[in-house]
Amino acid sequence: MTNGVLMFALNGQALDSNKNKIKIDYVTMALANAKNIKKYMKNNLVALITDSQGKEQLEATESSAKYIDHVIVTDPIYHGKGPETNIKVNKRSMRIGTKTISFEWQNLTRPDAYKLSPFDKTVLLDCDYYVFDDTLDQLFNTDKDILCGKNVEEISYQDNLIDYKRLHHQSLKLFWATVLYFTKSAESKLLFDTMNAVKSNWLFYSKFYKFEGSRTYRNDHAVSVALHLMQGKIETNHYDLPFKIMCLADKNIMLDSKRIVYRYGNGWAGSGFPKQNVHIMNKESAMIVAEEILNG
Amino acid sequence: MDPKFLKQVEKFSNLKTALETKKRNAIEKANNKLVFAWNGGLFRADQQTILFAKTHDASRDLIMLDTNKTPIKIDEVQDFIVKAESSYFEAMNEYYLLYEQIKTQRSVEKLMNDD
Repeated sequence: MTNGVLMFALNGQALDSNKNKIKIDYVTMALANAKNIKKYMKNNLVALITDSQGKEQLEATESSAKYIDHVIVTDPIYHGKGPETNIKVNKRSMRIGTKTISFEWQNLTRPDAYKLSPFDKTVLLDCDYYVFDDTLDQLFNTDKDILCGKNVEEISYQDNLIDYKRLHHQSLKLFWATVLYFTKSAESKLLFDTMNAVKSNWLFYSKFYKFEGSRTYRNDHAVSVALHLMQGKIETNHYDLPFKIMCLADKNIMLDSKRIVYRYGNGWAGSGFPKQNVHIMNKESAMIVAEEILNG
Repeated sequence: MDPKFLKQVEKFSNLKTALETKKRNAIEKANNKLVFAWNGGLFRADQQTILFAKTHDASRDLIMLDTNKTPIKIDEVQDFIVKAESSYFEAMNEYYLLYEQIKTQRSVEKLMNDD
């Protein structure tokens, strides 16, 4: 029985409002996270799914073999017209502190995690969900086949966003694919098959569950719909991950792994952050923390 | 109103916000550390769980609902209590130390720079 952590890393190129190019280096983020996984977790085998360029980047990085046990290369082919198949359309805009950036979001291969994972029991993480403790180890000692992020807290506590809790205020509860535990089992296979079915019929499901306004393909939405269908179209807590996912909103800033700066009224405020697992949605901050981990 | 006084209030309010933010994140860290796996289920090592396991009628089977409402039979009750208590004390001791440190901090800068 093998246990491990799986991440996806497909680098992107973002443009800010002045058309300056910013590299979103998911491979470096994944490498830093792998280093932390080795440091803090007992179930610390790491598999990384990336493309040929990502593999080249890893090969050029001396420490990568130390932290990443399996490199799985998939070169996705994009086609079609919708955001669920074509990254030219699947454009994501987000803030990084005071700037706004947009980039092609290469998140379309996530539903293939089941067939690509080399592990019997897998914790699938976003590579910007940084591991700073051993809490996720508990998942490997359960009989559960699927557990998915459900409770989320923004670490500045300035907003209470419905977007963090539901796909739409009249629709389903939102699961966060940021942390998704699954086993090689019929139930998990069904989850990923259903995610693929939702992805293939994106327009239908986005209208049906009222999230067509998002205009991008989001794995959080696909997994939420899939788990809703699998629960018999009712809300239970059968698949809820018991941990709260702490996250830094893209509009806020992490100066390093223990200091945050956030919008407060019309200005900015700061505070300390006790070191723990954290999803850093501000990509610039995620890169800063990655460098801190790799150089630390 | 006296601008000096307003500035003083604002400074205090900023400090309280920063304190509260760090404190809430410390509590969440402790809460996440309370979760432990036992006999295939996931449990929260809160006071209710520990007390119920300790005081239940030993002549009856101990069935506990885990965090996903799955009923789990606890065979080795004493070992379960030891595990729950160790998770609880580890999380709470860490939170206590952090809280003691936070409550003495009197500037946002100090709050940000201390672990």
